[in-house]
Amino acid sequence: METPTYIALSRQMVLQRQMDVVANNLANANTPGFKTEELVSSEYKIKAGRPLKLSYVQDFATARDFRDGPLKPTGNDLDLAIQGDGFFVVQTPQGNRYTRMGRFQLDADGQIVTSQGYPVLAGGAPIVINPDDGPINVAEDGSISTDRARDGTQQQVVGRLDIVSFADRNAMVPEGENLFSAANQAARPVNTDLGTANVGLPVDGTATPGSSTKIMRGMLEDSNVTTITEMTNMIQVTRNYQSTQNFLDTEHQRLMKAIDQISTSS
Amino acid sequence: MRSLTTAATGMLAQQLNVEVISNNIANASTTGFKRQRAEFADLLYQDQRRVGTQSSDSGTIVPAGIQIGIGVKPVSVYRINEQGNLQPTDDPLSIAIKGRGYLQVTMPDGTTAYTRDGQLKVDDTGQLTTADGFPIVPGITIPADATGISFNADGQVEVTIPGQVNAQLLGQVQLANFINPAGLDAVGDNLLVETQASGAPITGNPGDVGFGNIQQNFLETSNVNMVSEMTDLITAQRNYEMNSKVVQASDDMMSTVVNMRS
Repeated sequence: METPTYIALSRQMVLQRQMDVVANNLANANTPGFKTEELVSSEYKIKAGRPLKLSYVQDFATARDFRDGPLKPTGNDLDLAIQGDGFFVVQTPQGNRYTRMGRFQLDADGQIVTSQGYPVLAGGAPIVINPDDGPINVAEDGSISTDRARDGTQQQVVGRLDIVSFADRNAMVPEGENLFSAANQAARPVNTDLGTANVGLPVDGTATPGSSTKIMRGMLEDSNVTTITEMTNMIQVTRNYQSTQNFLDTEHQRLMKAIDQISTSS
Repeated sequence: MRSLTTAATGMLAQQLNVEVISNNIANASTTGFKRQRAEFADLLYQDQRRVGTQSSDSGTIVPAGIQIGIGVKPVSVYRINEQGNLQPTDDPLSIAIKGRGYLQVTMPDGTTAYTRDGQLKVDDTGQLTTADGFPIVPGITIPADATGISFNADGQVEVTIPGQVNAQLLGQVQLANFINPAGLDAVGDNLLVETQASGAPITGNPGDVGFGNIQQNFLETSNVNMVSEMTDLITAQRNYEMNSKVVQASDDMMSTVVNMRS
């Protein structure tokens, strides 16, 4: 009896979550390294009398659009952008995390760190820059060098940034602060056997960027949110929500009418 | 409605962005000013359906869960220490630093501050000071009868005195460097002070490895690029508006529910 209402309700719940996702995308339209998210919904069928099947709607995943965001020049030597596939590796107290946000700086000990102070890894270890050295250069292949002499004749290679890629990037878990974790490994030891099957492990821990992946110095990868698409999504969500509501209203009136007529006739 | 607060975080972030941009534009012609940028990161995610959990008894797993982000937060406002342009002045007491390093200044309370503003002055005792009258370190005193002053690229200060054939060497301008100059704390008046994040100052003479040169008769302009600030301002304002539209749309959705049985 109430089934139409419940089906419409399942639609509204999905729409509300979709609105949350749109709001988050728009709020992060200026967050470097942010990737647009999208709610994926699916049909959920239940049997209702023999030939008939009713389908509800259910959201089952947030998919992330991992296309490169536009590169924005910043003028900071340690602002690095990855062009192509890959993530920087960052050492946090909870373990290694992965990010596309290349806004790095030196800390008081000369380590290259993120803005939260987590060291960036090269060859599995933090990178330390000698304070007496001259400007820092980062090459397209991620190798970091400093000038030991003023005229640039003595280049000292300090290390090469770890860039890792994942077989299934959508299985990564966003943790906020532009960091992703490759879940279900060390973070969730219970699921380790599942984890290896599920999450694309770093394909190669010390992978050197291939020809398609380049490190761009003095640039940041901006968020890849296209605001116009999000605005149209937003309008669509609101309108769909309203039309579902209209349907609910009509359904409510139908029920009321039925009750009225049945009660007067008896 | 989570989207209401999510959009609110977006609006707050853009507001901060506009504040930073307006400070940059306001300081576009401040000597030695370094432009700033607001930096954002995504906030926490709420798991509606956790990635990697089992979706059936046979061990199949959820390949991608539902994680709903709840907005954006500012992480830092950092200085971009790019070299500013060198602007010629006719004042022999204006010096610019070409490259890394800061002039050291003794503050009235005895602490040391650091600046890139090389607009020097001479006080009543002949000491070289900043425009505010704070002496630079190491102190250099100009004799009253000196007629000309020159700073060479390595920071040596020489004066010519009437009746003397050779120029007289007065002293040496020293620079301080920091391993993390972005960690310095700006205290206004073009001055910066050391913090735990910046590391201890490393002093040296101009021209040493890792230190810049001194250029007399020039001042370092701010490194604010007006065109990019204006485009950033437009982007920030539009993003603010778009977030406000989300607030409006969420409100519409809620009012739909409220007016359900009208």
